[in-house]
Amino acid sequence: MSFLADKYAIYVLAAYGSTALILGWLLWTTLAANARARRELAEMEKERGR
Amino acid sequence: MWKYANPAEFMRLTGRLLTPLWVAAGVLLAVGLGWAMFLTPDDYKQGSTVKILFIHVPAAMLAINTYAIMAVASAVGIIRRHHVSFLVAKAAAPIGLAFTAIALITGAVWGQPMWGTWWVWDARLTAVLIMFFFYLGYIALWATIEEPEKAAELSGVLCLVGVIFAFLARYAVMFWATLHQGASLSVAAGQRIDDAFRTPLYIMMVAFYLFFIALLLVRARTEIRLRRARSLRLQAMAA
Repeated sequence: MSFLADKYAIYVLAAYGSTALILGWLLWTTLAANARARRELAEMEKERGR
Repeated sequence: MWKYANPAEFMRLTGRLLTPLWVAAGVLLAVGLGWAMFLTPDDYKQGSTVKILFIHVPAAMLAINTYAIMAVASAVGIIRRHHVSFLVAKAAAPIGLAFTAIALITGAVWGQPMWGTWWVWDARLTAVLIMFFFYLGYIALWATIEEPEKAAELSGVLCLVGVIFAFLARYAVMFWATLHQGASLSVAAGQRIDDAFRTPLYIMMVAFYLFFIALLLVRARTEIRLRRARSLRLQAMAA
């Protein structure tokens, strides 16, 4: 990675690092909320079936 | 088209689409990032900071286009009293917020070495910042109103009010002489970017869009499940 030796390396790494953090947070919260909703609905449907 | 707006049909169709979407987004993101990082030369003026634009440009496009999608969905929801439209707008808001944050942060990080400042009150930058606050306000409104129908309608109206800032974020560079440069990707203006940068940029744009669609579908499915669970809970309480 030749740009790591460049004087602007810190800026490039900061931009990519912050993007990875934000997209990682977005993906994590999206999948976690989906799993929670799926469990909640399954429980409600189970209760309804009783 | 309206048959796919039926929640059951929507769940069935999107359930089949999600895996190919995740795979395509992941592969294109890996190819685009690898290309941007290892195979593109430094720009003669910007040096290696040109690599920031491979994430800044797609994020900024998505920030504005997500708002446009929310506005259209909100308008359809308000006019046709169609609750899946409201749920799609609600599902899109955190994604739009995240891409707006990415656009603002990467723009500031690029601006410091290139413009000599992290921020200027330029028309485009300011419009994007205001749009960011509209995203926050929209999400906050949904979260604070307990009654879903009322929350949907009020946040839909708020979304439509903010459309002007999405429009300005997109077109401000045409109305005013701003520090932010004009459109680099324009059919009318012809090719303004060298192929060495343009091809990986296109790959990153497609990857970001596929990632966005996959996230939007998962979030919309979550909203539909939560609504169904709420309805079952209310039925159980009434029985």
